[in-house]
Amino acid sequence: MQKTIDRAPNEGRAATATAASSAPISPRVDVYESDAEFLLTVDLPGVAKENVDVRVHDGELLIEAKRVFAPAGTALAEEWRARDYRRTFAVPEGIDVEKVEAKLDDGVLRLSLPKAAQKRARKIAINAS
Amino acid sequence: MFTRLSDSERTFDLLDELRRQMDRVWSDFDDSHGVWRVASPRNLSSAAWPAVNVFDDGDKLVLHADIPGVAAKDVELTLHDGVLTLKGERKVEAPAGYAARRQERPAFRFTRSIALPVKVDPEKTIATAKDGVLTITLGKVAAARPRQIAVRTSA
Repeated sequence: MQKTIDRAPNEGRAATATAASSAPISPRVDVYESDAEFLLTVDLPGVAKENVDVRVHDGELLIEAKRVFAPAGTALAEEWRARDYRRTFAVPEGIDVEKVEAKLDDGVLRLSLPKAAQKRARKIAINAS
Repeated sequence: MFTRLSDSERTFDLLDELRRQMDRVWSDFDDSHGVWRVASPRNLSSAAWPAVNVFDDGDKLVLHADIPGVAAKDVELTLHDGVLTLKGERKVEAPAGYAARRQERPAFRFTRSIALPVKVDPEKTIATAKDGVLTITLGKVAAARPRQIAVRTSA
């Protein structure tokens, strides 16, 4: 059985974070599955396309993103801080790594992880004898 | 100085409790499958949504709100009596023909009101959304802007 998945179980928000806590945040993730693929949606507010890194290797999916925030002026309220995001999942076997696709819209990353053809569920016809 | 008027916190406590329950269900499922599992329960804070940063930049206030998954057109902004209100809906649509394996991203309607610490000019308000962050620039009225006072020596 596969082990270890989420290695950064930090809070999803940096609302009460102090300057000292710069460890990456675990973003919120939805996972959906169809016969053909897995679909992940990940909340990554404040992240530009070029600052997202997605890797699938050895049965592990790694999502890393860098958040940049350089405001001017004096802070009156700071409920979030620009911390990096990181999350790791153990993924099922048979993902076609070459065909993984990623899209980023409105701070949400959409990952498509197609299943390799031979791993898809097939309907087996049962013949009456 | 900076007052939070919204009462969406309670809704979020409820959502987080639902999430916790869902995680438990998933850990049962995951024990038998070993995939898409989290190693330990995650501690997501239940704060008002959206989380907001406010900066005073001399002649203007700049507010940054995290709104992942919310399109700019789905946010309604109003400014009334020195209170800025953000209202909208975050939609999370499960794709048709897919089974949910893990759901941590709630769909909800939100309203958050923020009492501004200084008077702003509604005509000098600009809002833009990029990468899931809403940036609202509020120009201060002339009387609320910092002024340089010349110091003269009394000779």
